[in-house]
Amino acid sequence: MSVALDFSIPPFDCLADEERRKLAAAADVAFLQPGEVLFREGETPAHLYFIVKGLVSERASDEVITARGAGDLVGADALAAPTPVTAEVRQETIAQLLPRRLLLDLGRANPTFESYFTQRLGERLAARAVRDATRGMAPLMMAKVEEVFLHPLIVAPAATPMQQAAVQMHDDKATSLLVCRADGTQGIVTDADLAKAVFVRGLPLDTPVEQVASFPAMTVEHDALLFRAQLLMTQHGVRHLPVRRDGAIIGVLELIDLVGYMSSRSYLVMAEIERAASVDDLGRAAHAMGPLLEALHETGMKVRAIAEMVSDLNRSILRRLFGFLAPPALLAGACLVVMGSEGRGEQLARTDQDNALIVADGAYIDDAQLRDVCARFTETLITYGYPRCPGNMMVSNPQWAKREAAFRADIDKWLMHPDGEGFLKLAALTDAAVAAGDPLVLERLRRHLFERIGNAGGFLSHFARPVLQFDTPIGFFHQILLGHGEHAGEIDVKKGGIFPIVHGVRALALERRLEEVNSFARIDALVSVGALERGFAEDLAEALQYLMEIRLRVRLHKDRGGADAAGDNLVRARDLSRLQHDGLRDSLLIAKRFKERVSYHFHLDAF
Amino acid sequence: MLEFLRRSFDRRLWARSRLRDPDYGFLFEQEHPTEVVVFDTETTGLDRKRSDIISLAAIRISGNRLLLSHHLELVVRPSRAIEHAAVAVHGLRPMDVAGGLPAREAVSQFLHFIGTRPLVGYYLEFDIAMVNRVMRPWLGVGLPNRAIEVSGLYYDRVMRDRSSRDALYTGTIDLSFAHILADLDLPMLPAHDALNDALMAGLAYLKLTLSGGRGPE
Repeated sequence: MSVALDFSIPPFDCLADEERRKLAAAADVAFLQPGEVLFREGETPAHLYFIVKGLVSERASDEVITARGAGDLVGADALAAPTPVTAEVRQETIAQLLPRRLLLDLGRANPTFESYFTQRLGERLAARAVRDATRGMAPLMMAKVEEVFLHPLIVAPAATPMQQAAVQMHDDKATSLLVCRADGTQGIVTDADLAKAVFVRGLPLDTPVEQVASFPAMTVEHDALLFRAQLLMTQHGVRHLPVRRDGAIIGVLELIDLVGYMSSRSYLVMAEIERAASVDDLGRAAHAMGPLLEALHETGMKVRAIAEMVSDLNRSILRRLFGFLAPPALLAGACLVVMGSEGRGEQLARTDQDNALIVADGAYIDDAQLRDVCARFTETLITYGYPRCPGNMMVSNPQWAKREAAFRADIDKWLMHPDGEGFLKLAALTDAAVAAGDPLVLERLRRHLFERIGNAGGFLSHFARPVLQFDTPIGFFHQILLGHGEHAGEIDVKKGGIFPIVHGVRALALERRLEEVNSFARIDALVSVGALERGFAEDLAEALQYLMEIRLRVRLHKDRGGADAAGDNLVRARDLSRLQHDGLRDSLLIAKRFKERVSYHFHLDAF
Repeated sequence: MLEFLRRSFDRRLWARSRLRDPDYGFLFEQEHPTEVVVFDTETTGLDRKRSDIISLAAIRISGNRLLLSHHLELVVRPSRAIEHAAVAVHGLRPMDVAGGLPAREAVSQFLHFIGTRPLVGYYLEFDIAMVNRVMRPWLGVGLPNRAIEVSGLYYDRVMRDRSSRDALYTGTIDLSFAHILADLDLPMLPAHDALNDALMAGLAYLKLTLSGGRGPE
């Protein structure tokens, strides 16, 4: 049937043909008038609505949360539980009515389909992120299957006893075996299949291997994109993929090699950094990072993992450079720290310098020499492609390269006489992490901060306040879609989402005197001390991750088509796919809920 | 008015008296109070005297809903070859319809499906004539159901809009299906598939009967 239901859109894309036919055959079409209410908060609607054309808004207690347009599903939250929103038609709408009961039935038979509706928000975001990521096609993903190491092929006839097959695989150090039937069809059996057959199903060792093999084996062409192979593997949950050339199988691609191929490039850069014998060598390694990062962003790797890798690489570069420039006394008696997002390990690229040098009280270091080293450090980093910090938070500024005692005095001043600049600096220092030198120096300073905070009553409320500084633009899309938007739909993901989450988490962590610096680690730690409940924390972490990812995407996009530094955090609504739109909405919703909690916790409303 | 009602009622009675098969008496019962049926046919050609139905689709409409979940979609085996020009229109080749139902069997299913519901369609006259070509020699009567022509509804709507805007109307009204759909801001599904055509005509019918104005200008 060729009618309107679009099966290329999640979750319908994971339905089998037969399931699609069933759904299409049961779907009535409704012509809905503006003002019509499809269902109300707390109800369990009989249908979910798939919009062919038109606009439906979803409200939760009088606040419009989102608007759904063509291709969107209204009521997805209502499948398993009473709906948390009221859906109202805003423009004349044509919608397909999908019976809730049928969707439930389909879900019972198709777990992937069901999970779309039952997953918690956070998980849904995660699923989306993966899907979004696999859409990207960049250098690394343009690699062909044959570029990766292929395991040599071993073949056995269908009647081979399992044990013999296992021995053969063992001897050839293979983890899979191609099974050939007399009629020429080929299947595949893996070590995991054999183990399961014996230990789980209790099959005798002389069972013909044919009985436990998968027929026919799914294969991929030798010149297919690596990305295709990865998709095939994830979609079908297989880790081995025989590779064909001219109709014949030439080897087996294993998931582990595919993943290895992707990440090996980062190890190469890391090795180059470690091997660098001079400031110039190091510079070359630093410049090799750019293309690597771009490739990584496209592999579908989680931003959190990318950030970890980036901060590892960045810190290694800083450490090696400091080693080249600093005299031994400084190396032993000072601590070079990175601050802000770099300290938290949430940088996704080489960005502005945000660093400080804390010199131990007892260290003997000549001031002039210190200034000289610090100035050269900053200048060299600029040549490596790390721009100056606009706020001048870097070691070339004497404010950020001085004795421990001077930093302690700063902290006392910031705590006792809170002002905007003090908060900013304190926040940066709270997020400091060691790049080189003596870690105990930073540790002592942090302990000092934690002690003083206990004595600075009401400080944390002031400190947390900026969480409310920017509005979270939820409900924003609604206006754009209705065409009332004056500024044609740009959303600041940093102000509206990333900043409130990062800063709220920072304030809560500071209150609990948590040592963790990374936002995700802080969220985990807040759960373990009982300051956040697990479910909410997981949603929060997913939301943060998603927002970072969207920002990264925008940034990569802009890098390619003319840079616009100021607009780095602005996402244009019309550039978003439907999936991204939904993900962004869900994430901002979580950010908003978190803001409310932080505001309540620190009594921000009382000011 | 009364006179007209009486006469049309008489006509129904008269038609009923000519019905050869009492099993189809249900067609002459009282008109269904709430539902209508939108339907469309694809044929071997465009000459209503010499063409046969090769596919037929019908969808009931209740309130604001097209009951797609209870639609009728039939492939009919024609008694003559499909003209090449017609194949180009609907894409149904002789081999596609070879396994279809005999025409009377198809029309019988259709009649039970529509009952006494009024019929809705675009250029409905043609589709009704095609069904009647099967019915008359067999049952002695044609379709007695009231017919609602979508292009007629559209014409009335445009005339009303125009007369309210400017007193004097000059020019012609484009009554092509594509134009009507576009003007009503309705989605264009792949056309010349009986079910899709019926669906689009149904949407146009709902829009013209339910909604206050035309689509956003």
